[in-house]
Amino acid sequence: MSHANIISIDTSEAEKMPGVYRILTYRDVPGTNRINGLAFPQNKGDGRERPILADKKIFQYGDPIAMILSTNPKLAEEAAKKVKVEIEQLPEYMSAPEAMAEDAIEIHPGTPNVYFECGVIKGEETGPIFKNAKYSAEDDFYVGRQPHMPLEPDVGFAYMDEEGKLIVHSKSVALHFHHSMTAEGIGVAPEKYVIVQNNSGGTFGYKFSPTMEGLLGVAALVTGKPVYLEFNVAQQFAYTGKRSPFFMNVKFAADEKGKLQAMEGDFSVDHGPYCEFGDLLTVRGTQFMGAGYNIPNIRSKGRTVATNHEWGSAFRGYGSPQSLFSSEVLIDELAAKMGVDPFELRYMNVYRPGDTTPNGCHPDVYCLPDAMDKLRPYYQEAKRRAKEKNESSGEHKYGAGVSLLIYGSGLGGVDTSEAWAEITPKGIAVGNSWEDHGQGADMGTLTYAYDVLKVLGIKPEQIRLVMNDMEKTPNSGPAGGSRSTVTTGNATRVACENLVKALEKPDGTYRTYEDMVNEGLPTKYEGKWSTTGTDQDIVTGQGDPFPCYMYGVLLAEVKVNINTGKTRVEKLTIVTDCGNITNKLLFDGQIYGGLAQGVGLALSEDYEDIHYHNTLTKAGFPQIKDIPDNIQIIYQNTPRPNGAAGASGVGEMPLSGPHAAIVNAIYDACGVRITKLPALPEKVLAGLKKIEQGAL
Amino acid sequence: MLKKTFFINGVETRVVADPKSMLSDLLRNQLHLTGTKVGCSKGECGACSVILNGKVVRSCITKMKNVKEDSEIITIEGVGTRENLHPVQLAWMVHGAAQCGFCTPGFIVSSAALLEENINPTREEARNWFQKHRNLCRCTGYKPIVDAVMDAAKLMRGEIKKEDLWFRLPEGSKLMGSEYIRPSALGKVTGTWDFGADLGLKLPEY
Repeated sequence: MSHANIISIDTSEAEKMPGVYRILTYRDVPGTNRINGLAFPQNKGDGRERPILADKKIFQYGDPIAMILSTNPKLAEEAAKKVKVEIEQLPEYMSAPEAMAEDAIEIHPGTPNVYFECGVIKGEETGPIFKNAKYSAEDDFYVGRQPHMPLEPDVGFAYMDEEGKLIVHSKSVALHFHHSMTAEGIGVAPEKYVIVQNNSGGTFGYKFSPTMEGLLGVAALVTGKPVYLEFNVAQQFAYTGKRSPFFMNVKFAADEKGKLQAMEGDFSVDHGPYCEFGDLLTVRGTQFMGAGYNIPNIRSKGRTVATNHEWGSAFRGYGSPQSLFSSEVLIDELAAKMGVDPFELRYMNVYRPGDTTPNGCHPDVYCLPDAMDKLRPYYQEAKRRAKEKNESSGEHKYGAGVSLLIYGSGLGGVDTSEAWAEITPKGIAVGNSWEDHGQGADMGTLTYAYDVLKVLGIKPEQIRLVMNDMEKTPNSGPAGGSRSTVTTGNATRVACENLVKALEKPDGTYRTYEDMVNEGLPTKYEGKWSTTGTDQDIVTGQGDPFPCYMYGVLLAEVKVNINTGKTRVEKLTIVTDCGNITNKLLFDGQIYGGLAQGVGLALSEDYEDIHYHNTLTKAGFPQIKDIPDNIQIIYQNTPRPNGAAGASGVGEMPLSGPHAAIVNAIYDACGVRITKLPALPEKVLAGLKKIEQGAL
Repeated sequence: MLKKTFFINGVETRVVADPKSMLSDLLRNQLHLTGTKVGCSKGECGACSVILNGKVVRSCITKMKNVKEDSEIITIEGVGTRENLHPVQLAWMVHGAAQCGFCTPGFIVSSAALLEENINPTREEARNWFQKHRNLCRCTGYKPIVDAVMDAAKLMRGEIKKEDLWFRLPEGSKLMGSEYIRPSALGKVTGTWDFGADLGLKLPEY
């Protein structure tokens, strides 16, 4: 059931079941029962369509309707089966094109299913350019509902503290966002509501959205009792957001040498029924389709579409894996049409000094030609190796493909963060809300704090980190958009600098805690940071949205079994340029992990079939043998002028485009061009069959 | 109900358990050995791996009625401690092989069993082992994990010393760009880094 009107909810039988303490439905919610999706002003909806507990409608499979409170989870599950919901089934729109059809009803009555539009108008009209272009290429692309699949399913708890405040502990990686998104819906005064991040077993972005905060908050507030909720894997699949599919049509025009002259793009983003950050995501399409190349003339249009499939949440890369997939496969198609090497066609077109991004601004640094120069010998060797192997191979074909990997650090426009540093009787404490998915927010904080505080003669382990508890830590913004290093890293540095300044005595030595108290000086100092950047225009896409960009150039080498269609990634070689490296272990971990998720996105991962793709195995989680052991990182660390000690972020770059390199390598191996992910064996086999029949 | 005696991390322990419950229920819910994590509850992810009579098993699908009397059970708490790390735990920290840390106890238990059986595995043998035992990781791309196993094996064979592996920040140096080990790593490799479900078990009675 993915779309229905609710006629009635009857909990009377369930309430008689053993072990039931109380059953809550929307009628019990003290607040508005709506999560605030923080919609853009241009969004045609008000951003308040997602209920905490379903009231009028079921918008997607997995929507919670009633909460059974019990001291025994097994009894609660039994009781849940007795809740009777009378519904009127409505047509289910399980993809953007279905929801955009003329006869489709509005999923949220009063708001059109296409509720946000944006685009790029850069340079000259592209129509005439395409007419006169020596070369052009066009194709349709699809990147689907990659599930995050953290090993720890969503979990949290809530209680009322001794001062009557509601305290919610969850996996939130956006504490202050989630606070403002859920307070009104729960019905709690903002100053009486605190969110704390528990240690989290992976989120990869799904916890950029509120998940159970509303449910936990309502249950604790209404009952006054501590409540605990954990999702099982099936619930994790059904009621946490997924990567939003992009349906894309993209065209390139090039002159006789292959210099790109124009791009046209049209894309629809299936964001499921809930709009939260769907507008922001759609804007990413205008930023990363064609990113990396100087394209003087662009016309593109994108739209966000409400559907009844799983709602879209942030997922590492956030729009760039979809966008770059289109342009990074299309440039290979253009190269094939021209009969030139796709590596060299890229090289000719990548940003050189003076070139501009699709948003019409200069990128922070021009590092792609150097990065490609570093990768070229590996590419040529890989091509030679594949050719040699293919001469003697039977059922296996070998190939090499490349892709640019690019993402911005920030949420778009000016981005801010806060932190503090304090001298205590025991040493120094540093506080921020740098939420941790598992990427290493503790190490990031410690690095930016210690490098300032070391003048005090302390050791790193003497710094106490106070993190991710809204009662203690300030608004550092969410841990998303690879923004934390740049914004919170800098805010942390500034806080520590302010503390050190206050501690410094005229003779250059430093005051102790006792000195500060005796002299009546404050012991705690704030640090704030705002990035550079301007909001881009929604219609033209022109602006300067990010203070820093992260770059990579990836070479993928694959082996395709032409009898089974099965692809194996044998080796990945990446040149990374994310500015200075904050911590080498964290950096490498992000690169390896992001690339591995790219292998999954390319070959196996999906949550399209809500009744099938609901276990880790069936949703295509890569096991160790699916990921190559041979992953080589070649570092190129061009310092970032707007970064934190020259560093940009890193986490999202490695998942922005590896799937394009893998798909390009499949083409190189066996001639099959995959444009709709994942590249399952049956798709490769179908392509091989077409080639055999001479259809391609 | 079942009454059984086990040797859990070397300590003789009498337990009473529901025969239909899983070994992970006993360890986590009854004994509060929360270092063992439960991810998928279906035996697909290996986060719950423990060593039962010398073999790596997934405790979330191991029914209590099938755990024999006098069984020896080793959990992450029995592999090593904060004060006395197992070489695998140390190598895990050095290689940044624990990111979120949720798969870490299961992987480390599985690795310890591998090295018990084969103290000189090739990278491919280590990969085959984790494939066979279904240890999944979503954060690391697996490479740092294999790096850690290889160095742990070298430590155990006496080819290198702890000091050769352990990163020390040179006097006066900045942390920026270093291989300093993240503060949470020690908790993650010892199973003492509490996640939401672990804290849930430790909430006060109400």
